[in-house]
Amino acid sequence: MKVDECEETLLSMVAEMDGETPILSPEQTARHVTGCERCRAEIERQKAAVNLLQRQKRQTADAIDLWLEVEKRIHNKPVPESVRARYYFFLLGAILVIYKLLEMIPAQDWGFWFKLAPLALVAALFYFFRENPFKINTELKLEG
Amino acid sequence: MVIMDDSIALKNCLDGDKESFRYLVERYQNQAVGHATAVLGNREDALDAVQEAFVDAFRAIDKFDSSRRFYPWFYVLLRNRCFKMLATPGRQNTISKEDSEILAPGNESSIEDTLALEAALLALTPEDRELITLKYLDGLSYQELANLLQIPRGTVMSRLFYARKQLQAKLT
Repeated sequence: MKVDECEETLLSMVAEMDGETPILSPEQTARHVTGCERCRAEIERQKAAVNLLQRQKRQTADAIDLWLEVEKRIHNKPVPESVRARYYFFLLGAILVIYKLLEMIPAQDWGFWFKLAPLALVAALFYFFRENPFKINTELKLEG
Repeated sequence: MVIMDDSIALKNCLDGDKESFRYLVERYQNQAVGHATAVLGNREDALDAVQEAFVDAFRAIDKFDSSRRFYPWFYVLLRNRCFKMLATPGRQNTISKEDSEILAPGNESSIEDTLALEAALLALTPEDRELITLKYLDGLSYQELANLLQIPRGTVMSRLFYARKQLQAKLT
């Protein structure tokens, strides 16, 4: 027996047990199961598990009231870190745009310290975030 | 007397009405605690995750698509909270083994069977436990599971098959 055929048959029979549309027709599954002892045994095991599960009910939580705690947390929770970081980067962008505009004014000499301003800003960011703010995170994972 | 339903409550929430959000919390808290308990394996953590998820929902309510139902949207937030909690470094997996917290005792099967099944469920991965409980305790169809968990229907089918296989192995 081919492994793929076994898997398709088993998935099909289990789908039928769950009241879903099976992938294979009843004739196809019957033909396979007749000649495959392993699938017959597996189906019996799956049936036993389904029977047991179908007789259960979810435990219901008795008289809980989460509102007071939720309300408290809504008030107390600080603005998420990601939102705060975004805010600082918008601010940085705005400062750099203003800097560029000032720099573009002709015949205006802002002096030596003015030229150092972007560098100072970046150094401040390094200090504030305690890490390289321009670092690319290569370990991003999808939530859940 | 104001008759409230989800759509009215959500509309009012968008206008900043906290009492309407309270309606949503009270309406879905039991269901949410049941679902979070199934993923996390104990009620105490579940209560914490549900509260945090409601706070997340309150903060993100302006992103809610009002043509959809509230709970499936909220469930995604709750799920994220639960898995984030499970992934917290140094977290001790306190799975309750004394009482039945996922399954209600005294149903059609004996207490011994229920406790054995609960123990087997707790020995599964949180993902498998979530899938099995949503399927058999909530009676969701493959398509509903696919929508809720945002995975293809075929994946639901095969994951459920292997989860049940694991469960059966833990039972014997």
